[in-house]
Amino acid sequence: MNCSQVQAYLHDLICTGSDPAVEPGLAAHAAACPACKHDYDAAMRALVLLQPSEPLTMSANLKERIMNKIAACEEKGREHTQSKRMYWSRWKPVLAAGVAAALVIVMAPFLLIKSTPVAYALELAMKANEGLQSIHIRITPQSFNSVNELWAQFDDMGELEHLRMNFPDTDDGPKDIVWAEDKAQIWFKAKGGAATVVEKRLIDSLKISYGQFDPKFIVQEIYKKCQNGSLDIEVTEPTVPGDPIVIRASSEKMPGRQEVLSVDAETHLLLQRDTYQLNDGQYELIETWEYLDYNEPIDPAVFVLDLPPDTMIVDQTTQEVGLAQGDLSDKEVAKEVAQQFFTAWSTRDYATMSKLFSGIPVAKAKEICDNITVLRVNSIGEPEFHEKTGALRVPCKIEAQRRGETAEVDMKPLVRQVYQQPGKWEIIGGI
Amino acid sequence: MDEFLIEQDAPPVLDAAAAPPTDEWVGEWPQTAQAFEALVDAYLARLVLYASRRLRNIQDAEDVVQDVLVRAYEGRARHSEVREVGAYLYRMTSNACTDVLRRRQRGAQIVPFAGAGHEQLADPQENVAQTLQATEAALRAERLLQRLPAAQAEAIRLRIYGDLTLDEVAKTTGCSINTVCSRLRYGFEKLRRIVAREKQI
Repeated sequence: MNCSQVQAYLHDLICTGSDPAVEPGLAAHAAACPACKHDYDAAMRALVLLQPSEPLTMSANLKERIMNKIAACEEKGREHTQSKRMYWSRWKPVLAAGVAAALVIVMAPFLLIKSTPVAYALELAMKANEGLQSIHIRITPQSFNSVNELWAQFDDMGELEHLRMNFPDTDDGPKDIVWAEDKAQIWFKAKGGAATVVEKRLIDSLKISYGQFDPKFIVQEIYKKCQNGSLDIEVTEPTVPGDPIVIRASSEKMPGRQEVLSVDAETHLLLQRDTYQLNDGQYELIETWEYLDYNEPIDPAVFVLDLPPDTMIVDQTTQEVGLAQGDLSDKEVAKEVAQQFFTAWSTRDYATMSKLFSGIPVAKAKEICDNITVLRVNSIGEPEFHEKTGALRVPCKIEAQRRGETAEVDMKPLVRQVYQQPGKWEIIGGI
Repeated sequence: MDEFLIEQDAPPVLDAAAAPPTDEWVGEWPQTAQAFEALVDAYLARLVLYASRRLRNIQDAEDVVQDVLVRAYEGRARHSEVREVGAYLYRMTSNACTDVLRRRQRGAQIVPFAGAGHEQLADPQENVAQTLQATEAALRAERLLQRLPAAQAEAIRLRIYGDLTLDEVAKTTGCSINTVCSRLRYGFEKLRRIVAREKQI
């Protein structure tokens, strides 16, 4: 055998099976060719890993046990039907009207959920998602300030372990967020900066953001609303193997809105959620959430931001950022941040500049100072709300010097709460 | 013959001829217990073979298959439109095995189904050690397969654990033999690379 014959044999091994006639020639070649030996060994190891070593013997009475179970099922079903018939015929004259009325009153909220297909679809979907280990979700179409793609991985206890959310269009431009071990990194792509933060509120907010997409929560929510009668549910079972179970939910409270869940008929996992809105007599698809790669291992690289080399990285886990608001009003603290920042600039206090300007690196603060020298703060005006960023714009008149020329310049820093830290304020735009 | 030997000593994985004899099910989903018994006869040994190889534990495998077949019977009215009965049963078994492995991964105890009639262990300690070893092997194999695209992994499971021929894998997965071969080859190629890399590490 030569190398290409060995490779062809290994390539086909899983389809054609091992050929005892080939083995001696293969072994002889492998003994002289380390590359083929390496490939052959790997193939054998893969097979050994997949094959159980111990022969297993099936219980002799397994079929009997199964048929007994089936017989018991049938018997139970028959008894149930019979007892219902007997009960009904005996008490019909007396109770019929009363029972019917009571059922309508007491069971009204449950009637929908207790119908077999609905219970079947929703309860199994909830159960199927209990063991969720990882998921990839895609949301279309893309909308402003909304996530369009996310990946979530859970630990053995079902707790969220890693999360990535991509926001293609936000106030800050496109940004990606990854979270693991109570630390989040936010990549502000348009600004070429990334911030690493440890902040419980941010973490909680990320978990809540994920929660709205979690397939288990969605099915639970629909089940709950169905139970309390606030949703109408219609279930369509697949007629062709491989097609999903389709669950349509609508509510009188939101006329014209319809949620359509596609649930895998085999695994009972949620495959897709489509939201429709009635428009001019026709249902228009307004959003689709696709549930992809259930429990497929997620490449660890997904949870690491692929930052370009020139990204300005601010690690707020190791440095303090922003000014504490204390008793000051929003406008007062915005003015105070601007005042302290320009004062620090005038004295080349790079550390304070960094702290107040989104935690920019000290080298960046020095570069700013080298470019323009601030001589003094002439005035700080009343901050105004800046709609696009949600920050307060602080009009400042600064006496500054550049290339030997001195002039009063207008500067309008945007001051905002530190990302997800309402008690701290900073100048944004540093990253 | 008291017991049915479902695995031969010879390497089973690549020798489809070693699979237990089966009668392929032709027709609709059986609607009566009597008709269902014929379906059980046709698939019981094959499904247990598949599950036991995947779970490396005969009791769990029997429990899984029992549960699958009972559920298949209970849901017979719902499944009346299903034509590929065997494919459906394999998929149900595969999903049930995944659930068992997931529970094992989470360290939960596998609770036998009520009435399954498990016998008292002769040597609990030895049995626990064997179970742990088998569980670890099953989980390792499952983790390995989980690194492949789902379709490739399932084709390999059916081929190796179920001893299915290429034609049977094609019928079970609802695709052509060429597609099955391609999935098997690419999947196994990837497994070889993973195993080779792990060895180097």
